[in-house]
Amino acid sequence: MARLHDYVPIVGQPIIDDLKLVAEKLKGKIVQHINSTAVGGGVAEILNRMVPLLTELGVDSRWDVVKGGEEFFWVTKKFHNALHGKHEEITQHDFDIFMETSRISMEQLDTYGDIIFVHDPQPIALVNKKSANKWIWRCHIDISNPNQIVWEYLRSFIDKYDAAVFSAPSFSQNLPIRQFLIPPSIDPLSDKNKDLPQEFIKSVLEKYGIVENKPIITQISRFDRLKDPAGVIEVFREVKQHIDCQLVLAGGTAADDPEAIEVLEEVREKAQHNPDIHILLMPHNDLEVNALQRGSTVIIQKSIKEGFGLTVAEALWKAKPVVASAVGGIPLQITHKYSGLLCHTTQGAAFAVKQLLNAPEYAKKLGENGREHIRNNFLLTRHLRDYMLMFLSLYHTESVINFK
Amino acid sequence: MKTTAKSPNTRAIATLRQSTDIGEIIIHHNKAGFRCQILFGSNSPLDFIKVICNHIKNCRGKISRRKSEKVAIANSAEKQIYFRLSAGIETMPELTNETELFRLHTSLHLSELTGSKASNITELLELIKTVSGSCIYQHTHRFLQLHQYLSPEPPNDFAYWVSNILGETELGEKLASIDVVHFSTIRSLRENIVDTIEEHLKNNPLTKLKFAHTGAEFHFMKSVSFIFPTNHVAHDLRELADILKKITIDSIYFHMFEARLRLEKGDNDFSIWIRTATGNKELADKISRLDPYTYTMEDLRKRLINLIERSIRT
Repeated sequence: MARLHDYVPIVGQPIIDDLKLVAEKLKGKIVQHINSTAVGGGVAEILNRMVPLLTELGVDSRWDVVKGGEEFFWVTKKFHNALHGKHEEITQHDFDIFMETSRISMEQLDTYGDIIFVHDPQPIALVNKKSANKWIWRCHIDISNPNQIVWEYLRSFIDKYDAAVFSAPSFSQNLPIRQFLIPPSIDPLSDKNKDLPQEFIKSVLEKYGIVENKPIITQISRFDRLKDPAGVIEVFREVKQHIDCQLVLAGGTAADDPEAIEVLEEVREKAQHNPDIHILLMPHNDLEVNALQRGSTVIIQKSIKEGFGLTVAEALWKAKPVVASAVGGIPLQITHKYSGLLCHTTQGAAFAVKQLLNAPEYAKKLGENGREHIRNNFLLTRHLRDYMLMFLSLYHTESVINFK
Repeated sequence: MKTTAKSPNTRAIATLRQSTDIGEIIIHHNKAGFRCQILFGSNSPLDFIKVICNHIKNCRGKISRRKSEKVAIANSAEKQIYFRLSAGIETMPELTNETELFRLHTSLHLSELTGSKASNITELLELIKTVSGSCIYQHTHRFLQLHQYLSPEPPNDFAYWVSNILGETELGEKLASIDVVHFSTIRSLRENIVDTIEEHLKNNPLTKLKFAHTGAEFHFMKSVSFIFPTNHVAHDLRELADILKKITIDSIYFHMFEARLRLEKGDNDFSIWIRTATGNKELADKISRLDPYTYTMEDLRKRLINLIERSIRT
């Protein structure tokens, strides 16, 4: 596991020194993170990195996971989709399942922290146990246009928190509590993002039958309809009419996403056994995902909705040219024509991919700019700093807080 | 830092030092003469400190207790110790001139969402008039820290939104051209932004008919600043130049932008300190005249170092 000094060559010693300055002000506080899965998905990935680093900084951080059965996770997946604006039939039975599991969690889980940091809707109802401690709800979902029934239901819990955290400005809502903008981050030292030897990259491409003499277009994502893998296949077919290329659709599944296998089957059907379309189910194989990104010519992220779209940051960190939908937190990561290309339609995405494949120097420049932007704004060190500042803000109401 | 005593007073202190383990004596030479800095051991007896103070009563000195090997003198905690120890020693106020050292600070920012959003220019204007000053500060300064390196970002969020979302490039250009460096308060900056929009609307009423598409509204945020003292302390220009090479751009940002405008000091901290502590008005004025908004943060760092080093050489 990486330690703070390992980040010095990437971000510089002064950034680490600043983290220590902030952490000093949190001495004595216990921060308790609560989410619903220990593995898989962006939240678990970030917490796996962040909790040890906070601890190393002297901020007593713990991480607890609420339990839930298959039924509970089907309901929370429906909530997740509904919050993203997708139509879902939500019944009273769904709410009952949600509340019953939440009730059990409330009984089983000790909320001992001075600061309780709840991630996403699954554990949201725990706030009913709120006492004198501070509670934060971290929403990793794009809720710019939520299903009102689910949103209003969750509001009854959200309003009890001291603060909410969103990943993009457009996700903010009219709430009676403070709301902070904290985009997520990537860890440059994780298996998913660290530098890899060229031989390893080659070996991974070879393992999956991907050839190097044809451009490789890749989307790394969970198999989720909101990531529009079917749309990516349409983009590929459009590009393929003009440029001989390959498509890689690769991703894992998360323990709290029971829909993934269904979507995977739909995608396989759509690909119609095209030998240039590589559909790879790669649960928790970060090194190979890293190699696929590094071996790709262009990375695409054609999401319909995004909580943030960390795969974009991962690709940009590898200085790859990226074509991505202008949704969720993606416009925060890509400035159009400067650090990547943004698109709104399948046709627009296909055009952008062709542009990048035909203009490699332009593509290279976009990738390089993107890497610097990620270094400055979307690495784990910035994320750590923002979280610690937010913890401090719970104890201050003013806009300028001057520590003597 | 030099450690050679060159005055009768400091020789006296050096003698005392030989007989007891008090820490160390540091002499700082600068254009104004020299300053004597004494680092006492944390267990130095009060009587002994008084003796030392009397010996250096004609020096311009700094006195503090050493807390650990790495602690630089005179952070705020040490100042308290200093003043407590100095009670009853008449000469002490003369010995210490706090404006002469420059403790660098850093400012870290968190964006707080307000839930307020605008879909057209009328809504934007109304919100600009009513939101907190922290919102105006956020939307005129956020770009500086997000895009520390060369970037095509326009200088404020209002200009970007008006140009790229509403398609009002003329108004966008006018907003982008507002010379923030000429304003010493957020209030006056806000008034200028309002005037610019209202003036444009008088001559271009059709601008009011343009709407942002769903998802592209202007979301108002406010900046929450956390200001921390760093361990870097400059006693003269040489030290300041060296420190500028290693501090974060957040620290440079704080002293150049935030202290002047948000804390309403009227000038940047570097110029204020250089003018009052070193008497180098020419250098202070040169830094005051910089338009920091036209530099990337790294280029601004280089420019400051360059100006200070050239001043030292001459």
